Amino acid sequence: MSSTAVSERHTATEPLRVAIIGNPNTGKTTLFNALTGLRQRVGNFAGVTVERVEGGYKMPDGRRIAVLDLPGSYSLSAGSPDEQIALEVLLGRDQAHWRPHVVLVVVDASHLERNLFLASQVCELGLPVVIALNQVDAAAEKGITVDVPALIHEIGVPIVPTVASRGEGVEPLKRAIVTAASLPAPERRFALDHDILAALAPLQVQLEADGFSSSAAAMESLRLLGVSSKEAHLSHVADLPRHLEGARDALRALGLTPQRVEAEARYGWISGVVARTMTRRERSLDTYSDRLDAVALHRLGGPILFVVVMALVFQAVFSWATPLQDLIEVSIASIGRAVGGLLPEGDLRSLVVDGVFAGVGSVLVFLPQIAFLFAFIGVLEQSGYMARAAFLMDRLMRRVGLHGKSFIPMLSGYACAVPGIMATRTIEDPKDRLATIMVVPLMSCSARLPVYTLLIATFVPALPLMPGLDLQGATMLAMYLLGTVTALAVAAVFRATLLRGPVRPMILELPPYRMPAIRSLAISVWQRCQLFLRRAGTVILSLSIILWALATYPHTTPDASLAPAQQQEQQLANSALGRFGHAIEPVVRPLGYDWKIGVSIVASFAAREVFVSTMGTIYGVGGEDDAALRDRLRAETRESGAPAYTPLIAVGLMVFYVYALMCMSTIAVTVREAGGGRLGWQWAGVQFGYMLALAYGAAWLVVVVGRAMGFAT
Amino acid sequence: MRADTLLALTIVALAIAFLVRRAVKSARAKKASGPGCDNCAH
Repeated sequence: MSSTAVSERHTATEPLRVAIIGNPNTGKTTLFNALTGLRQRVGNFAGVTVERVEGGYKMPDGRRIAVLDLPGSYSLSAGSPDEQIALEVLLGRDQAHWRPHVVLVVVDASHLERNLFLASQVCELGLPVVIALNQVDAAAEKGITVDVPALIHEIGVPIVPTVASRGEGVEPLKRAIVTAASLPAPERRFALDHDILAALAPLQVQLEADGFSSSAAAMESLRLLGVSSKEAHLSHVADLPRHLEGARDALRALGLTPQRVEAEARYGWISGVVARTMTRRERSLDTYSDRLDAVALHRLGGPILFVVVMALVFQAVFSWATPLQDLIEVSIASIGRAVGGLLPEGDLRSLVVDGVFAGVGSVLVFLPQIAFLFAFIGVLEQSGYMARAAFLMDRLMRRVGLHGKSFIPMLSGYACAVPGIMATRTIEDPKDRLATIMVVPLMSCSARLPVYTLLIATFVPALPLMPGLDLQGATMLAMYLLGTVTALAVAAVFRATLLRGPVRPMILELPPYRMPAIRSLAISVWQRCQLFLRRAGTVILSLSIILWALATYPHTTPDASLAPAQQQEQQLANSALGRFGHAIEPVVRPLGYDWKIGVSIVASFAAREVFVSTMGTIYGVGGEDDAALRDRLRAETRESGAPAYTPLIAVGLMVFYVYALMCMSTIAVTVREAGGGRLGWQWAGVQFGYMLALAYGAAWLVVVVGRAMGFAT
Repeated sequence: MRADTLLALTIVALAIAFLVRRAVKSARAKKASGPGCDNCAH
């Protein structure tokens, strides 16, 4: 018998363990943050939490409370990997994690009926339950009032109204959680027909024999009727398929559809509870959200608005950040000069000035762009507009064979492919999920931003195109759109070949528009900036130092007949980096690149921004003045005297970066999420291979077509 | 070898050691939790 499946009572000496569960987008993570003081990412759309996240807090009497934030689930049906996680934790079947003493179910007051389905299942697991009736303010705006005492009476558990975003109700909720730990676990509040109970009895007995409490076994036997897939946590229950099939046969003999028995029984009870406890005032006017949606979701106006919003975002990222960027650039150059002046001429001075300041400094200047990008993404997420974007994209997604749910992971990919790939756990169908994993890295992540920004600022003029948009902003938008459109096209290819399968419709809940919370937005932007600075101060700093060494050693005896600049160029060409660069130059030459770009591309397989720091280091070592990297790139010439870098090469290079998968973390997460082991590595290999081929082919095509159109390379 | 060259090479060795240690730690952590992305802290 498994001891983990039995309800465990909490003792005063150990922390009280609380698991938070609820439907997607009910504010679970906001409540988790309000309870624990942590700063987990929140969004105004479903599927933000796809992993278990743990935190804790202390009560005034010193009692410790450990809190686990589980992924959002509509039910315990375990249809997708994230729902499976939640079920296993609550049943105590997750070997890697503790079973809670108390379950906190977050219920959206505006959608009581749908939310109570999950709550009623959780109430039958044999664990004490507390319900946080969240977003009561939004419900009130819609004319919905819930009679909380009556609801407590109906469900039989403590219920606390909350507005997690404002911290309202959090203290009473903390007290209710402690109190609930000493209360008996709730029980099923609706009765099943005797015939149904008799049909389920053998299955229930078998589950109890395997360690389930009587209450949990009753819930599981009812739930399993509608489950088609084999569930890992029940794999060792003896004779489970036979008992389950026996129960289904018995129900069919009664004229019932086994898959519907649970839903009909629960919703039958829930509709009565809702009728007795909730009142809804008739709406005389459309809500604010409805009026905004009339524009945002319009068949024609919606997509136009989406493109306009994105164009404004990228233009703002570009132009608003420039003054700050210039300030950082000047400051770094001044500090570099000052520090360099303190050191005697020699290798150490070169390391500090040409390696550290030129390398890391050239990446650090993009901090304002990163901050603006995440501020805008945060506003779009928290306001609820991202969910509208997913709705708009659903038709297109279905046309390419993807589930509409795939768009949320793809949107997450704009920030970083790693959480984007992890967000695919909300997708039930394995082929849908795998197709989405394969294309998420095509969405331009924030690590590409420094590369795009450097090349656009250097080679694309700021020609005004229309009010509020110039050619630089439009070029940036074009790169993001190129990645997105290609992701959809590649997904269509996967769904038509290796991952063929039916397309299923999506049910998407559109949250009401909300004013973004400035504090949480500021925290999120600050966290991203911290990560960027930490990355610059660790990985990029280390790589810059190593690249400096490769560009400096072995030392070459300078040819005294050459000018100083030529001597430095000769030293660079004879260094380990120069020799390696010249060796690989034939590979990148068809793309119009010289060995310096070739080396920077190879180095950026460690991290994309390293392209910029490598260029900074190369031109730091090979140059004699301390001009900004942009000016050095513009001034660089070939032996013929022609410019080494042209706008056409810059565009080709950006296209290369749109497509190339240069991120170890993404490869690692693809291996894991695509099944792990040999299978995971195979899919990661396919992903890396097709993206590299696409990058090289597209960059080559840009150069060939550009030349044919008369552009210089 | 000049003292400043020696110092510079020591810093280079430390940078290599840091990256190797980080790669080993990330490979070990991979099985337990996320892949250790320092771009997004996952």
